[in-house]
Amino acid sequence: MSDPSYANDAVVRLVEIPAGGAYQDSHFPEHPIFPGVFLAELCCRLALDLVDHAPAVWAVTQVRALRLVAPVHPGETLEVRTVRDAQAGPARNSVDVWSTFSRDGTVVGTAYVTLEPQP
Amino acid sequence: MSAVRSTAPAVLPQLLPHGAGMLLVDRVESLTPGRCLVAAHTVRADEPCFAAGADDGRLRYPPTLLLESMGQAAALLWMASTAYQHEQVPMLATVRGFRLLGPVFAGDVVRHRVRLEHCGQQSAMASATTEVDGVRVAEVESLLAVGRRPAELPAASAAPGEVASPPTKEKRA
Amino acid sequence: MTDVSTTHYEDLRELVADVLEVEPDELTGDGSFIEEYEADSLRAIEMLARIEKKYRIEIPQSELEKMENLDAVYAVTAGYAGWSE
Repeated sequence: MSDPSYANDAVVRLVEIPAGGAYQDSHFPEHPIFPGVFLAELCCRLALDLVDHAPAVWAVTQVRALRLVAPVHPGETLEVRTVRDAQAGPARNSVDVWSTFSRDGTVVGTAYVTLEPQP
Repeated sequence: MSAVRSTAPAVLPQLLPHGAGMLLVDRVESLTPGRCLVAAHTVRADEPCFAAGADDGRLRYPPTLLLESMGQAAALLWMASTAYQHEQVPMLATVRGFRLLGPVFAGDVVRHRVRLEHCGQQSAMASATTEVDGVRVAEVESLLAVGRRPAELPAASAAPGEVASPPTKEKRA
Repeated sequence: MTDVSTTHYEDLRELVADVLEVEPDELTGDGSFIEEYEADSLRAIEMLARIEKKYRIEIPQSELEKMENLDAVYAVTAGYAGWSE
């Protein structure tokens, strides 16, 4: 996979990983770990920093690559760096973003996803 | 292995470490250990993801939950293989090439067809497709699962915290 | 190297480069995956799984710590694959 090309600035955020709720309380009952697919879902919120006109609702319609290097803990704070891939997405209104999640300077996860507006 | 082999395929999902709220596979419909599996999940309108409802009344299933469901089906196929070590917790490690091909709604029965591409004692690779009423709605080129020892995993939850800090812009050179 | 061993080595180069997400010609034989290509533990597991799949062999995870560069990956793989090169 090629590196994304950068047309917009990268955005860095400190993100507190959500905790609690029916999904996360069940993942897993004895070992609370933030579901890896939810890192991809977080990109929907992170991408808001990189688009001028966000749709009311959008969804992760492609996960081009998701790497879960280490378990992420609900409630912890991670540094997240998000860039927008300037290459055209599969649909006119789609956006591709690449987010890197780090804990104390060490990457714990990366997500490269395509977001599309939902009706 | 003996637990998996002695469990009726229909109730195999109960062997996953997920609690009820995150168990997104209802039943295994067919299983060829070490090779392939078909598993089904009914997307229910009372799932937490639909709590906010929908403006048009059509409850669309988040694709990331569909991917999670596919991953759980792949984990079951790995757990049924002779190589799997049952003292570990199977966890998704990488995804390559997941694509949503069509919408999935509450009430749909999603059926995952998973093919085991490779498995060992502590990792497994699989590919999968998902259909609703015989129509393909999703596919994934590659899922990699790894087994983590329970001692490596957190045993207690941190308290929920507040919202993210304001974003800071990082200019690229 | 013989022609066959060159092919095996180059095939491994392509595989490892794909896992590390670098161009094959950027990968040197003795370049440390961790220090020169920012490889993490998950890359190592991915690499092992893909080698096992490609060559239909089993390599114990205990060998991972030796597989620190392309030359070492070739040496370990050759041993388990039975390449008499």
